[in-house]
Amino acid sequence: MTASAHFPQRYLPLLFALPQLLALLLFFYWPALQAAWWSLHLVPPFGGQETYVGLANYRRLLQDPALLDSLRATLVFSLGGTLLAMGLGLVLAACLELRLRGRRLWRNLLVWPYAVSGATLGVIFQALASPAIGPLAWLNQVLPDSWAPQTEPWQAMALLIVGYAWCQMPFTFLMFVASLQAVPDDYLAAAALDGATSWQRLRDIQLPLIRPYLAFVFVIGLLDSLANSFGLVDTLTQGGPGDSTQILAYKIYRDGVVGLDLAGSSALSMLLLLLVVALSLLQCWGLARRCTRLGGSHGRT
Amino acid sequence: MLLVLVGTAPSHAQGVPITFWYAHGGSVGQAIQALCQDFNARHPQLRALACIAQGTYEQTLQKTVAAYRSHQAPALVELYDVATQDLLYSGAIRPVADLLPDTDDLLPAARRYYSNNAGRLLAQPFSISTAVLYSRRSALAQAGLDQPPATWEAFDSALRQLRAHGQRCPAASDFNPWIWLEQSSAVQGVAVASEDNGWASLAARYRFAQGPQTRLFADLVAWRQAGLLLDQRLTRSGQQDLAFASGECALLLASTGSWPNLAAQADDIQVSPLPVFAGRVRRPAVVGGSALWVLRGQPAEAYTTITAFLAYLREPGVQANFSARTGFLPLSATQAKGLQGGDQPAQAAGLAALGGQDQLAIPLRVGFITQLRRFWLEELEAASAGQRSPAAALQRAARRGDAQLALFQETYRHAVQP
Repeated sequence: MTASAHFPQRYLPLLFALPQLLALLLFFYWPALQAAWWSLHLVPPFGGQETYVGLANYRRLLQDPALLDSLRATLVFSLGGTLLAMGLGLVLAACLELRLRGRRLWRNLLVWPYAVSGATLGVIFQALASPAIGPLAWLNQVLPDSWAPQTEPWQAMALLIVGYAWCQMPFTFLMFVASLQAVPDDYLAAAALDGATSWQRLRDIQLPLIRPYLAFVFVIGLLDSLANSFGLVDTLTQGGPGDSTQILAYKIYRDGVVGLDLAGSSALSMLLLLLVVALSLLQCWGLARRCTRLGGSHGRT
Repeated sequence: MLLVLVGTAPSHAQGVPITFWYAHGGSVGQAIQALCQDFNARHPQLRALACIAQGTYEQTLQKTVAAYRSHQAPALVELYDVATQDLLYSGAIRPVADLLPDTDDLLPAARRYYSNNAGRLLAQPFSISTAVLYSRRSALAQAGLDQPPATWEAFDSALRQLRAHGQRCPAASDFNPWIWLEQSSAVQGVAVASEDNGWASLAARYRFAQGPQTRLFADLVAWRQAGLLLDQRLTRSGQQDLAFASGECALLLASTGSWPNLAAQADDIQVSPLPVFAGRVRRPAVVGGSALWVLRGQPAEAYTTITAFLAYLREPGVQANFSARTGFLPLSATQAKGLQGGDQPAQAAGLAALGGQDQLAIPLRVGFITQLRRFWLEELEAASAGQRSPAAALQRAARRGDAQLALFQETYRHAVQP
């Protein structure tokens, strides 16, 4: 699709974008610059003399044994949550493709979980996960002390991943519904004529053709799990037994806001920023190229 | 209608009310609101005091930091004990000794906690408490025990006997390091940090990774793994005080301030001091809880109201009422004498544990204690989940805590205490 709109005015588009740019400046760029400044200084919590120390905060950070734990937890949570959300979304989107009765209703209902914030879901899941009175409490009666997410690290992480996937599933579901619909019907009809089952059509035609979308949703999901999962962690596990579910975003909060270590948590924020920037660059360069290549082949038919 | 309302309202001096931020909810929050209303009614000529609840102790501290940085701080704020060193070096407080004349009648342990090296009172103690052991007579009797355990060895065997006699939850805990590290160290006369528990200089570093605290830590891990001392979230009630009050658990280590929740079953509950290891001499305990801090940068009338409020809180009648309602220990030593025995067993046990003027415990006076408590608890949970050995976990907690102490020393190298 080529660009066909052309604005003759020079500065009008900028004026239209100004409110959003101001909001970005106020709520994203200014705090980021402040965090960068603080990460290079020693910052007394109540204000006062801020001493410049160069990269000492980063050096201290790298010597903290808990940083590695946090990075590991972030990796497991982000990968696990994103992959589970994508898997669920894909399965449900593929089910819609079967053209069963009531698919419009399901397409509507399956989007509703997106309206529930992570924090709300965390509160609900915490009640559901109670080893004494939750729906999984019967596990403890069959096998005593088997279900204890408050004290078992892997159970807490599993709970968190399931909670996150629950929140993200509507997004991946919608993306996959749209991308599956972009696959031309002729291919599917031809395959059906040749006797392919719906499973074979999915596996051999639809999935390969939506590969760019799969990659795109994967990166977006990873970015979202890095940046927007604070609410869920804060209400569900609070960093989990020990620090097994203390993802980077949560560690920044615990260190800086609760622990009053403003300099250390600012350095950690810069680390998270670098990670997010790296992921975004990966998405821009690595995947955009693939998109145009495959998009071109679509246009020809 | 509006004129009638205005006419009947107590006529306070003109101006914006003075803000007082406190950190309690529930029945204690209501008691504090009652204090504020009574104070405002008695002093109509002063600017009114507006008392606002701000959540938990941690949340109140966070909000105070944010408010102070943006020059919108309250005049008076209730902050918990472990923020003391952070506040001392902040340059944000006015010592209470500047506003109110000193008095000998304060509870010695509380005065010690909130004074500086020269003995000057910096904050007025507010919710004073200390850790005690609550036990259920009926549950202990059923397990063949006639006394609450006085040593950790006896505690261990009590847990096992309770379990053997069918008590599914011998004890539940939130494993707050306030009790399991700080209070238990004080009662056994062991320092948590070097340099006189941090009083002598900012070069203090943690010492709890060597010494008797390692044994208690290892015991805690063993009890958790054996299901003898349950995490409070694994009980039906979900909270340690509730689990004990409902009869689900038989033993509880908690603050004296938990008594009002348990008073309904006073006949069945025994209150005794924290256990110590066998063969160790029992030493005086330290106080915990919170104190009222006066912040700088307020107009002069604010300090007039604050001074009057702090003096009001020291009145005997007010103290007696507040401490009866909330279970906290009274502020004055004479009031405390009147409480020995009687219908407040938790307060009596707490006061007995604190000791007299001549023998006071040295409280922990270092920065970033909030962080230390979190590190200690994280390492306890990691050790209980089998991720590391108890010794390695404690070493890690000390190492992480020491890094924070070094940061504190570096940050406040040129600062002076008030």
